[in-house]
Amino acid sequence: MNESDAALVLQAQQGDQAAFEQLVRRHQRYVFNVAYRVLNDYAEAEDVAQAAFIRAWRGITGFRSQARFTTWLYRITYNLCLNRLPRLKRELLNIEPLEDVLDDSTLPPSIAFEMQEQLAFLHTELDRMPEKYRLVLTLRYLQHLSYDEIAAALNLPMGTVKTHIHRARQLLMDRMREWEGEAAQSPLQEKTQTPPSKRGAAKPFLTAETQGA
Amino acid sequence: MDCIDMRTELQAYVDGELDHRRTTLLKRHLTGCKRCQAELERLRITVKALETWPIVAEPDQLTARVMAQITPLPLVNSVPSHIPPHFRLRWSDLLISLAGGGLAFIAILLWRHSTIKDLFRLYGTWISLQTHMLKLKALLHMRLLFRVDNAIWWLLIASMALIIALIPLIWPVGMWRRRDILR
Repeated sequence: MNESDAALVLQAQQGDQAAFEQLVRRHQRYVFNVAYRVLNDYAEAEDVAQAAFIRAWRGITGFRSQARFTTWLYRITYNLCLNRLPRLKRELLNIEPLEDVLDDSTLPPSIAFEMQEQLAFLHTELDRMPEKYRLVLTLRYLQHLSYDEIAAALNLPMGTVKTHIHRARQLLMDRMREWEGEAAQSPLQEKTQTPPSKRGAAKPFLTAETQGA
Repeated sequence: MDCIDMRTELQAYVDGELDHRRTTLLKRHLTGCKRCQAELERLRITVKALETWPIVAEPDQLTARVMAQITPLPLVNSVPSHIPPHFRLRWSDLLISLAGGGLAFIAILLWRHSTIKDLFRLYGTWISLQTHMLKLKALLHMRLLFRVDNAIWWLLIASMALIIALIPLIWPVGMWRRRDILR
């Protein structure tokens, strides 16, 4: 039977470890990916994900059922990431001014690009973005949290969350413009950049078929 | 609106947050601006990239490792319910009651210079606060999550009783001063 998170949490609060195990299985992939995208290290992300669930178990009796379990869980994960990246909290509170670019690069590209090329390039660039942007983008687009929920998970004003997401998207667009410009000048060069090497063992990405529910 | 202003509008437009008026203005601008059309297209591709951002597979034994480390939870409310909670005065209780007494003293001072309506409003707020605190206590006991120290509640109720007792003493004084001011 596919029970809701709320029902499983209630059972876990009574000491039901099997119910908690179901919660772990259900959310482990997302918790792990939040940690991985912030820390960019597989082994560190594994430690953080494991610690997040253990901490969730120990604090589950104090969890208020009015809030969403996932919001609370991501907050725990974020706090554990802060232990490894203390500057992340400071960076999240800092909003850089947006550079208003209005030059020829904003015009339509002179050559046409395949959508898959553009997506591949952007996926590479996502791994190189500042941690704070990777964090908010992951919560928004992978976990599908609302701005309110992200703000609650990160203990930030909603306006700050929204600004970070806008800035992050603008940064990606700026990088896309540069890439289009470089490709237009030398179309025979490699357009997609190879991903940066990551510390720790890397696992394959999941495709749409293997991601499952 | 110029292209610099469009940048924020494009973001809100893609998120579906623009109202009808701003959407109309944006579309009108886009009709004649290739630069912003290109930016909108880049933004849509960016959002598409975010929506298709590959997910990394988690470690195989993550759940097993987590479950191996969790221990049974301690019993909640381990004290038998038939044993009444004992009264114990702490420094925090004294500080809370002092703060409550101080607020009550300020309220009394204000009453001497307030109209009757203000007096009732202030008193009503106080009653409402006490009621909410008693409701909270009832909820906490029903949830049986943790015990609330009775000292805090008794001290707050005592301060409320003090204010009720002082009203007959203050009211005539307040009325007299009001008559005096009106003359």
